[in-house]
Amino acid sequence: MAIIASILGQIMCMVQKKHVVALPDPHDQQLLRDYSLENSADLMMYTALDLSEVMNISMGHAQRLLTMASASIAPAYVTAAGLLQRSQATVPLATGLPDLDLALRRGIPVGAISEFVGPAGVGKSQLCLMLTLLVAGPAPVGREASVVFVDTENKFSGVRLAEMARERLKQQHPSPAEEQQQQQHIEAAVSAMMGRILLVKPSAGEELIRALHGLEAVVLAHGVKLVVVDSIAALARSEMGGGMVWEVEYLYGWLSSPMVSGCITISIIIIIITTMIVIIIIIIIIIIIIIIVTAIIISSSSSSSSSSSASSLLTSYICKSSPCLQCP
Amino acid sequence: MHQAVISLPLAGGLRTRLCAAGISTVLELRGRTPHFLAAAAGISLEEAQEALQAASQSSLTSKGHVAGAVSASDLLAAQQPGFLSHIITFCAALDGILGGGVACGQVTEFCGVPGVGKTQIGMQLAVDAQIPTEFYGMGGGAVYIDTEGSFMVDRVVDIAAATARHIQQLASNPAFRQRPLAVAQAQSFTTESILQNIHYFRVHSVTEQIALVNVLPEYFSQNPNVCLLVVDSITFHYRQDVTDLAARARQLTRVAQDFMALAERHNLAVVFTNQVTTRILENEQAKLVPALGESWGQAASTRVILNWQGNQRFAYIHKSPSMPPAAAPYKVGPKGIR
Repeated sequence: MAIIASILGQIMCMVQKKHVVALPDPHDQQLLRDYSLENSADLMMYTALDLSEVMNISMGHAQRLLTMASASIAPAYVTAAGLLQRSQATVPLATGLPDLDLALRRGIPVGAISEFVGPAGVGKSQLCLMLTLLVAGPAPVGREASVVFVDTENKFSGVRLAEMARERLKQQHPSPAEEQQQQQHIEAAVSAMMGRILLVKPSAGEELIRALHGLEAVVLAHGVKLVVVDSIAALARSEMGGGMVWEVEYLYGWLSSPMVSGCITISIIIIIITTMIVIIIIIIIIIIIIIIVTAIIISSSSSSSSSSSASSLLTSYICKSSPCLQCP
Repeated sequence: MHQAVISLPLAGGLRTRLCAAGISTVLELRGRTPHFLAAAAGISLEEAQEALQAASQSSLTSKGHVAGAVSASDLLAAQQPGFLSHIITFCAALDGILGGGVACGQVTEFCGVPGVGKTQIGMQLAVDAQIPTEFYGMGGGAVYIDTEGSFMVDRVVDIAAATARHIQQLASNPAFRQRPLAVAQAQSFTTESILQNIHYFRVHSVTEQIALVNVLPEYFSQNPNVCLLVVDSITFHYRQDVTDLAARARQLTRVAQDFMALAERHNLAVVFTNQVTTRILENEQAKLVPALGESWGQAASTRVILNWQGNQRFAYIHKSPSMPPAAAPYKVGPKGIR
């Protein structure tokens, strides 16, 4: 328990982007440097009164310092109209399942985290493979973009993925003539697709954290358009017993904040898989996950007017037989 | 009656030197020249001038009244009768229990489990804040601070279109048709204008959130027509970025005070969205309580708890300065909150 807490503490230092505050007045900058408060994360934790006491300056001076530092750190605003233009420029990932695409309006949204929840055996990992195919696959089948697949339960099957790709490609060109050439073409396309999929297989909690931490660099280097995590609950369940909920919360929060900021700039999709087991801890985890999963808005159909949560519709789609948590 | 020098907002070292020179009350500071002070206390001329300036601006006047106090009868007279300072939520029952809607000049907090409609209420309010004044709305802009990434523009477009249609239907009523201002305002209340007047800030960490709170006063002085500020959700980053609970409590108190001051100074309706957490009671039963603890409960003057009862969503007034505790059902539909 102490080990995990210390690892998370180290990660926190790495994760907090070392944003150095730049003030217009060089004397103020030197003041910050003298008291080692140039890191924005540290400076923001102080109130004006704290700064006045620590740096031996007047309250007015301390307030001016904080305001100037905040002006350089705080984000600028966008009007909702500007947001709309941005969102219309990105193409969501159509899953190919007509009802799901209709419910999601166009497809899985870009620049946000989407979560698929369901009991064992319902088809989540297969769904992951299909989505990987839709992004990494050759031209008529997929977008020919790179995919990062974080596989914690050894569910990734390259054989199955290649089979799916071959079948779809064959459907595209049903002509029986020139079968030899077609076969070669298909094989070349499939192996190119495999080259675009980056598989990560962490086996322990800290490996997963390290993998997630290095993800941003990988995404930028390879032009990754889809990140799949299958499944996020597996490692949490095995390593963290009762009472460790806040650390799991931290994992999800970390996953969402910087990654989603990266998402928005480079438009990638993150998919998380969790298996649903009726244990109090896991229920709490799922409640927290659903806080993060807010990317999907469903225009309420006339029959389900009471549900506006994407997760509940997804779970009702996936959990066919067993009773689910969020099913209205 | 004699204000002490140590209470002035000066640097610590300066205060110590003044006290060491025997100047312990503000009265002794007044009427001195900077040169005298500099010589007497062994400080520089600039520091002496700073000390004198702080002394002259000190709050206690000679009559002993506390500066900035206003009598309650003056306040009541200032609130013009019939002046609607609420932003409606478009759900009649919910507006009823809130006393007309979300009040301007106060902080309101909506807490609930995920999926119950907190963000939907925030988006509906951002559109409703812009309802023109002829139609009994505030006619002001809205600021939406998003910490979780839950703001969906497509949904806001739906809500805005439905609200604009509603207002334009109202404008064709005989009562409004005679008023040229009402007709003009209804025509300019379109989906595009609504989207233009929602200013959206996306915050990715607790550092950015605190920085944004620090720059908001300047933003509001540059945009005086904004009447609504939604923070969705205020607790997300505090719950995971800040592990030192003592520092978190201090930060939250400061943030709460800043928002309350903003709300009052600019007559804003400030709306927070909060998450819920589970508390295990003594009899081993779990209870859902708003997150961030008891001290955060003081931040909002009105607290509304949203929950599910069966298939229906309910809003329950947990805390309000003027309204009794009551519950109201509401729906989240294609047109927004109804």
